[in-house]
Amino acid sequence: MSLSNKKLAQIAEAIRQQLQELKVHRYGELHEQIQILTDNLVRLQSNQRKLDICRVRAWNAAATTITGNIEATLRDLPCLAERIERSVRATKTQIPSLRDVYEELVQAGEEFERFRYSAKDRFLAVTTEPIELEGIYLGEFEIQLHIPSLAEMRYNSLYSIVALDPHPAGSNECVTHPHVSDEKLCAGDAAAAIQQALVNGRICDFVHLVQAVLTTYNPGSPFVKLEEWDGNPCFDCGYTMASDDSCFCQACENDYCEECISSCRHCEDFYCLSCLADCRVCGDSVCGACMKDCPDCGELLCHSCVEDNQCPCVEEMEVENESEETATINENEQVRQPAASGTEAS
Amino acid sequence: MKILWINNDGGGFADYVNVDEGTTVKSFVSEKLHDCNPEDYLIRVNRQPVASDYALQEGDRVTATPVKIEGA
Repeated sequence: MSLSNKKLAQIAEAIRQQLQELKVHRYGELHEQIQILTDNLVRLQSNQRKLDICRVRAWNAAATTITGNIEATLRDLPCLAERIERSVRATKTQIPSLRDVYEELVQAGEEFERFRYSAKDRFLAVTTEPIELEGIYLGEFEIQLHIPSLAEMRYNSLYSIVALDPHPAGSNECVTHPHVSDEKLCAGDAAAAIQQALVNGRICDFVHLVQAVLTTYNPGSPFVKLEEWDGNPCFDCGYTMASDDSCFCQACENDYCEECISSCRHCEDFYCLSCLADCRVCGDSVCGACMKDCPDCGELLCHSCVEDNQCPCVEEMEVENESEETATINENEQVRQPAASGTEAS
Repeated sequence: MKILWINNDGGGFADYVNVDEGTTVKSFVSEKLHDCNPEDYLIRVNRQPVASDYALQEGDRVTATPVKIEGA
């Protein structure tokens, strides 16, 4: 542990100050909850006065409407009262003494070899041992507790889990651990205990709890499953496949799953569906290398169809040629006939 | 005698509890964590690891933290 006793005492005091601010913040929340309940009670009182007027004047229809309003207001009261109770309980948390917080920091320094404080970013950090879950190496993680965020206990900014030697999931590089995404831990069963530990200034307990989550794999709800960890996403459909199951398209040089890959009917190499085209004549799916321009019309066909003169333009040309020949023959005949008629007449 | 018991399993609340003189930390934890294996917990007394036969003293602070917790 490299932090001096004086530094630890300063950090402990900073933590205490934040917890004191948290207590003030919680009194504010309690005040808001009471205000909401009071507003509802005022509404109830107003409806009571209106009901009395309706009762005196026998305005039964109006009374029915007001009774409905009263019912709606009453429905919210138990929930509001429960929230106030919870807020009251939250304010009863005792702020730990400076000595207690200091001793927590000393304990953390003794139990974790790499324990540091960043004065610039104002966080305490502990580095875990390298973590490996079910044969998947994930590396070391730094648990960073952002001290100024303690005052409001905002989950998203309170602590971060930074991968020091990232081995993220193949399908999502933001997921460096099955339960860590974008440096935020999904604490699951530890969430309540982590919050209690922090509210009570039990920093070492907080670190142990986070570490307990990092060293446990919950196959029920990870961001990315470990069995898909080393997988690649299919470039077309996004499906995560194991590295051994991915297929490489030689044209666009991307990885595809078995559903999105195909092969050229001629050279039998693997290509994605976008890099294959159907020959207009035979309908075969062929790659760019197995396509050829028809020398007559320039249409792109498979080389077999081009070499076998299967392009529709060849037939069209033959038909055209035949038509021209027929037309020429007819013209010649017409020329000969009038000449023959003229000779006979003379 | 009164000790502070912090169970980081579940809600993570701290309570003062009464224990008999001579109660060892092992028997205390086993009783509190019934149906659980104490080896699945990090046990600390006054922030220090202790032997399982350590006899609890007045004012001791006992913490139990699970070593494996499922995230989400």
